[in-house]
This record gives sequence, C-alpha cells and structure tokens, in this order.
Amino acid sequence: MSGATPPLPQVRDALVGDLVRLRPPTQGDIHRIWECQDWEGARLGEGGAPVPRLRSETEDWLLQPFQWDKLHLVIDPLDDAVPIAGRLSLGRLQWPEATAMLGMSLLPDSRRKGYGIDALRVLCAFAFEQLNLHKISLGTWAFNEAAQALYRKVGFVVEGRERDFLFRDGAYHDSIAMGLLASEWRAHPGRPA
Amino acid sequence: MFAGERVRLRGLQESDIDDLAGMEVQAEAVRLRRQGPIWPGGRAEAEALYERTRTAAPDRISFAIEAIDDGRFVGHCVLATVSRTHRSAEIGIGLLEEDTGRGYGGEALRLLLEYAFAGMLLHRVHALVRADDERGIAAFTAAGLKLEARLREEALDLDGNRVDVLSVSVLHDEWREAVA
Repeated sequence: MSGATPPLPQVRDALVGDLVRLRPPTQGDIHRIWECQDWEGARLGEGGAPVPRLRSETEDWLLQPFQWDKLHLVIDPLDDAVPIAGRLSLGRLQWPEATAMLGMSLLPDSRRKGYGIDALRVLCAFAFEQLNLHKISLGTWAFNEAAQALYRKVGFVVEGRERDFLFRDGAYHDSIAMGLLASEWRAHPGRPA
Repeated sequence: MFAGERVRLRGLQESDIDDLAGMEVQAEAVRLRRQGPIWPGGRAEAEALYERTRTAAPDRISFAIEAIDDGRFVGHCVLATVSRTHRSAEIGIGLLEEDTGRGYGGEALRLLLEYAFAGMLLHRVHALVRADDERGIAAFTAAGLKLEARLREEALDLDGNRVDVLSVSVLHDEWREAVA
C-alpha cells in the first residue's frame, strides 16, 4: 500500500449530453412551455383533445415530485440559445415489470436543431442505467414521420400499428407503437447500426 | 342491451366486494389481467376497486357479470380510458376461476361491445392481452378483435418470465358488419 491517495474518478453527470442537460422544471419553465403552446405541438403531441391548456393545468401536470409513477424533465440547451428547448417525460412507470411510456415535445423555436435526439439519448441512458428500467415504450401518430425517424435513430423498434387510434384534422389516424429494451440499449447505447 | 342468454351486466354492488376480493387474491388472475405487483391485501384492493367503480364516470364504466340462472356474481368487466375525442376505449374482463370455460366470458364480451358501440357510439375498442393467455386471446378473437401490435416483454408470468402483450382491437364498422 503506498500512501498516495488515488484521484477521484471523473464522473460524467448522467443527465448531461452533448448539446443539452435534463433537469426538473421550474415555475419559469412552466410559464414558457405554457406561453409557447402552438398548433403544431398540440396536433402532434396532444394525446387527447388538442385544446390549449390553462397555465394552472400545465403547472399541475408538470410540477410533480418523482414517486415512481412519472418523471418530468425539461431540456436545457448547453449553448444557452434558449432558456429551454422542450420537455421529456416517462409516464406509467410499472413495477415490477419496470416499463414506462415516453413522451417528448420541443418548443417551436427548438425543433430540427439536434436537441431532441440528444435529449432522448440522455433520458434513455438515465432510464436504463440509473432507474433500472427494462423497457421504454411510446406511441406516435402515423402521420408524424419525423418523430418515427427520430425514435428509430435512437434504437426504438416498431411493434405494431394501432388502427384509427386518434381523431385529428377531420379523420381517424393510426398510431405506431414503438419500444426499446434494456438489452438493445446495452448493445448499441442509442446508436444502432 | 345488458342481458344475454347466460349472463347479464349490472352495476357493482357492495355485496360484490367479497367476490372481488376473492378474485384479487387469485395471483394468476391478477397477472393475466394487468401489470403491477401482486399484493397480499386482497380485500382492501377490492374495496378500493369497488369505491372507484360504484359511480359511473365518463372515462371508466364498470359492470358486474351475473349468471342469469342463479343470480351469482361470476366476474366483472370494464370500459376504461374512454376517450371522447377519439371515441375509443379499452376493455377488460375478469371471471372467477371456477366460472371460466362456461361461455360466460364470451357472452359478457359481446354485451360489453354492444354497449360500447351501440350505447356509447364508440369508434374503436381495444384490449391488451398477454401473449400466453390462450383463453383470453381466443375470447377476444371470437368477439372480432384483431391483432395489431405485439408489445415485447411488457408483462410477467408467475415464474418470473417476461411475456409479450398483444394489442387487439375492433372498429365500429367491423362490429356492425359482424352482428348484422
């Protein structure tokens, strides 16, 4: 045994990626998310009726402590270009199955800038490597091909097509069910071949 | 609408709690029906279920399944996560172990679909069923629900193995054609 103390290992913050960090929402973030509500976000992101939400609804929805049922995080760009780029959530966390549903939305001025895919990789890594989840699932509307391409890039696999799952723009549309298993994540950590 | 040849659907009553509690302690039934832990506290869970379901809410409507010949409670079924925007709902059904295999489930399912499509004018009804639940899959298939997704490894069996979950659905037009 030598007397020298080994240096502390450099530990990477599990919630920091290349472009963004994920953190819990503040009142200010909620206000921004509420102010930035736009039709494209509602049309693509709203699971129920695409009706604009009250500020109090947005607060009640996002400002909840983590109690193994849902986790809400906001996407904070490291370049400080905007206060927040959007939000991510894991909902319906089931135990002992260790499964969860993923939800994500980007604010209008932060779409198509690479924040989304970076945030998604950070959240998946956190879910599998810190929360010990077994699977992350999600549903995306069939007409939202950009979302499907994004999820596929991170390794999500299409598991089925639920017919006439939602009504929007005067017609019924299918929903695409996608999933990512912990074993798949370990094989490719967010960058499948 | 609520009565068939062998079973009728009715609202849950306080006297159903003991039967519900009996179902809750049948671990296999718990596993077949849904995700989540198997708790030892059966009666409390049944009481909570009863409290949640004794008044109809627009997004969740529960029924007891009663045998017509002797008036016994044989199971319960539910129209859950009803979406008024998408006119859709998920259905679930559970029978007492001793009352399976008598055609009660299939008839209850047909009554529940009639209520969903003719009574509530839904567009889509879907169900989630474990891939190893042959009886459940056969009942949903016979009632006209079609396979549309295989959700990998989302459930557990009693040996601790991960099992796929199947998503099956039937649309209003398909149901109408089948009953015509």
